[in-house]
Amino acid sequence: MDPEAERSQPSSVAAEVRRYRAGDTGAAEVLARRACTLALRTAAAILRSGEEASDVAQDVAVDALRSLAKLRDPDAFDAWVHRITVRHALRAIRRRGRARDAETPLALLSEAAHPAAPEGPDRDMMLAARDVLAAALAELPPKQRLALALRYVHDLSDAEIAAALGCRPGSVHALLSRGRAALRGDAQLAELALAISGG
Amino acid sequence: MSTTRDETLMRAAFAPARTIEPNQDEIARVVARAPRPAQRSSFVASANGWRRLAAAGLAAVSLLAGGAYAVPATRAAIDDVAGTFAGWLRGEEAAAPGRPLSPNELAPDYFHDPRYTRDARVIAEADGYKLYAALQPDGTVEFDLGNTGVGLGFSADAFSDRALYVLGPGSVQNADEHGHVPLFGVTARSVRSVELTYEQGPPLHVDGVDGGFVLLAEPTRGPHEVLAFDAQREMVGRQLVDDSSHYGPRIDWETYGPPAPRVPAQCQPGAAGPNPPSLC
Repeated sequence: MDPEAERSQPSSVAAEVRRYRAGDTGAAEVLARRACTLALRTAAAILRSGEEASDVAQDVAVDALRSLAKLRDPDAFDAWVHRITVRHALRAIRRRGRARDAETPLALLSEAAHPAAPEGPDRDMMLAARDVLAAALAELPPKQRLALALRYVHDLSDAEIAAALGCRPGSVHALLSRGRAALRGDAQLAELALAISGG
Repeated sequence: MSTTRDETLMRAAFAPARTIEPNQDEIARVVARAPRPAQRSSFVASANGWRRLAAAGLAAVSLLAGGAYAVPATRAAIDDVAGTFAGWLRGEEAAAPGRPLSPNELAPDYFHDPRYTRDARVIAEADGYKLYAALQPDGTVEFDLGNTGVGLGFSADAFSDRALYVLGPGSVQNADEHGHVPLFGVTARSVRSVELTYEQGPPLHVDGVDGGFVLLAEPTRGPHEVLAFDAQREMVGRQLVDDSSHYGPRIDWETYGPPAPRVPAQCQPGAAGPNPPSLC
């Protein structure tokens, strides 16, 4: 599921929700995959540990299926999954805050699994930027991290992010601004951004 | 760094996360853990449909005949939360859950006012927190959560087919001096114990449940779910109690501050009324 497809399938997802509710076991795998994918992308962007992100994604998908009967609007499946993801991700961040152990930065982890660019200086630069960003993101408050992830991973609007975070759209705007400003203040990151954008 | 550069960098940096896909093992684990969709044979679906229609019809007839909601006779035989209150709603005091208020027992003002409520009772209590219930003139049950000024009215039908219903934590703003926030709920008669699970640490298990409960939740450990068990220790109901719940209250436990002195019951909004005692 590419990001464009992610946003263009709401009606088919709603149809799967209805099939599941009607007792169609085939819909379970489709919905499990969709919930797991959405949650994994968010979790991987903020948790930095692949194993942790995978655990969160699976828990989110199980929760989503377990309580699917309570989802009033089948078209809201994705929004609902994002909200459950926020809850599980915040919990994981809190847990990690209590017991910090070795973590694999998202950038390295995901790049190893999904090489995005051919070998060369540009790729090295991008890898460095991602590595620095992963470290800088970890210093942001959890809700800022989540807001940034929902915007730049899922292309959600302020209103959609607000629904996921359980706050007002105005608060999302502030969260995103503060998050970007904090990252902008990171000298190493600013330098890399300048280089990437050719400035 | 300009806004454009911000955006360029952000999108570039998050790009890997936009295409990550779960592997087949992960999906298989989810499907294995998730409940199977309800499998309904046409006969069972039809039979249930007729039973529900019949129950709805009985309820409608009762409404027309009695002028107020009455629980269908069949409802009492079904072991759900509605059944806990069915006899009481029919006027059978012996069937009422909990205990009557004692003469001088502090309760919300409107629980002493016959215009609004009658037959006030304490359904459950723990460490001074009480779950009050009373009958309302329209045939519904009114609950007051810990004399905090939060009252919730329900028709018994709201509780049908559920062994457990979490009402919420009331309106307390802080954890009390022990770091607790009360969590109130009602149960089917068959429920003998309830358990509050946490994100961290052991669950809180409470035995001797009889129609309702007050759980002394610890917000700092992340309350997660309430489980209900019958006499054979079989789990018969469960409900999430965090901010993801789509049935019952959504509770953001992070909003409760550090432990603080408890507001005396007689100073709670529901008890103090327009002339609060001087100690408040």
